[in-house]
Amino acid sequence: MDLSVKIGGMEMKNPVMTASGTFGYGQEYAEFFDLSRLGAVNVKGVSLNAMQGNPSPRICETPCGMLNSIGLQNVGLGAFLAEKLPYLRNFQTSIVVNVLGNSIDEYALISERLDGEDIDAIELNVSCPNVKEGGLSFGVDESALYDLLTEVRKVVKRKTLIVKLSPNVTDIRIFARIAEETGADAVSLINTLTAMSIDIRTRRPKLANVMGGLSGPAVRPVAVRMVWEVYNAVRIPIIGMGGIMNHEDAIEFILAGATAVAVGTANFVDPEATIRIIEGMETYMSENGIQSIRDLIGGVEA
Amino acid sequence: MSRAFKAEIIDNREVAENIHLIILSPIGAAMNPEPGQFYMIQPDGSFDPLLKRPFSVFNFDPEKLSFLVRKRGKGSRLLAGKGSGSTLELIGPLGTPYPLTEKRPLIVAGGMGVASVYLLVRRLGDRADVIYGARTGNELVFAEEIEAMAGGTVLMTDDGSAGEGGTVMNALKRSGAGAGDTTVYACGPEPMIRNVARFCLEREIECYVSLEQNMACGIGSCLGCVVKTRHGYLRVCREGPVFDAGDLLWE
Repeated sequence: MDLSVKIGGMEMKNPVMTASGTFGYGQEYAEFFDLSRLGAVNVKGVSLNAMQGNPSPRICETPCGMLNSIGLQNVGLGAFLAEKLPYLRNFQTSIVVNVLGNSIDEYALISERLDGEDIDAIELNVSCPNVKEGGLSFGVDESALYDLLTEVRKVVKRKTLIVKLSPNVTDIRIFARIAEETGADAVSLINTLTAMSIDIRTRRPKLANVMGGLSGPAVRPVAVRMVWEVYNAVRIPIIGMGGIMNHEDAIEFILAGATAVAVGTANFVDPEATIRIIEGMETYMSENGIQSIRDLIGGVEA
Repeated sequence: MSRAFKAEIIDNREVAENIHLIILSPIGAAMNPEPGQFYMIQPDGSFDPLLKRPFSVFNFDPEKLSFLVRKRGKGSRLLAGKGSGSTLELIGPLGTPYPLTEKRPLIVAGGMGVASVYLLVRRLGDRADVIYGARTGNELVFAEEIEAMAGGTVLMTDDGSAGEGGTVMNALKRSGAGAGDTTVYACGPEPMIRNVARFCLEREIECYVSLEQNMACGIGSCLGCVVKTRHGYLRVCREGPVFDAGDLLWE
């Protein structure tokens, strides 16, 4: 039974990775299981300088989902490379580094530096709804995204380059095609849906930042639809995500066209969710006589 | 044993209106929680509500873990409705415990804050003095047990229906707590904690407070539960829930 997949030049022993921002830098989860069992670890978004993030409350629960507005609190590139990456390298898993900048130059600077480090892939975060500059402004503007990806591709010569797409657009296929045209190796989707929730007793938003990103099972059908659309629009591989809680959800994304899947909010509910999903996929494959997980990619009969 | 585990409810009883004491089957001494730590809890197999909820460990005796649950929102109502034989999913023990010092411990609990300090009172016994307040007498749950364990106990109610009329602040002000000889431990509603912290800081009394915040994971990964401190944003679930009151910058 073969669970291995390839995203650009990145080999994954199985198609399950963590979604950026839901797994810290891995340390918290190493207390629960061996990170070497994962297909890949995608770390909390890294910016050039440390960011302190948004005020509390930063999260609230919504029906079958949650809103977050963390504001990309992270240790910054220097501390990530010096303190966090060496720890992760102790595990036999691929490492994806999610990158956030607030200008093309900054994205390029961080990406160029990471291209020479011992990592496997760079994921450009152009879709975070929770920061004022950068982030989402590239992910929802076609020409800005084109310019950004063109410049970053010039400096990312060795590593797999992934673009994380925003669902907060009218037609996500347009943005996926821009990623493909400018030479990205893969796209990942979806980031969170911009959302809002109000406490009717205090009449105040439930998040200090007013708006946040919706994740969890509530977004899954939207995410599956977008993966299916993008699968039919581009040839580069897709990392599918959005409310995956168990192996059945993961297989749904693969049938829609994802080569790999990322598990996000489920890590908060159950720290061992990724392992349950990998084991569930193995059982599903043996029960259904599937030799290679790759045989299922895009296999929906639609 | 992983800190993510399942346990069965062996008793669930209402100890006051809307407040339930839930006792779980023995989970083994390896999980030995310290006073002030907490567990993330949800009914087994439930994704609605989606996230586990944090609950302070109330008691651990011997190996039987118990929690006080106040029916407030969807998650706590669902939990309070689970009877004996139901299975819960837990992660824990989590977070930092109350640090023990050589000074005279003065424990201040407001309302459900008692859930966080009960085990501390048990641990310290008659070395500790306790100020315990609630809105009304019915909500002073386990007051008799605390009186029996602690050195001195002052009970306060907003409506004067039990103990004395007034708030824990009235009792704290005349407690004789002083810089250098007392360590105050406080848990309760945020306004109370702020008042206790301010009182102690002004008099240079060592003070540790336990904070609450919306929490998704409880293990330090989501960064959803931070509070502002002199050391930047820190996670209530990891660097807390117990903080040195002097480190907190209230937003």
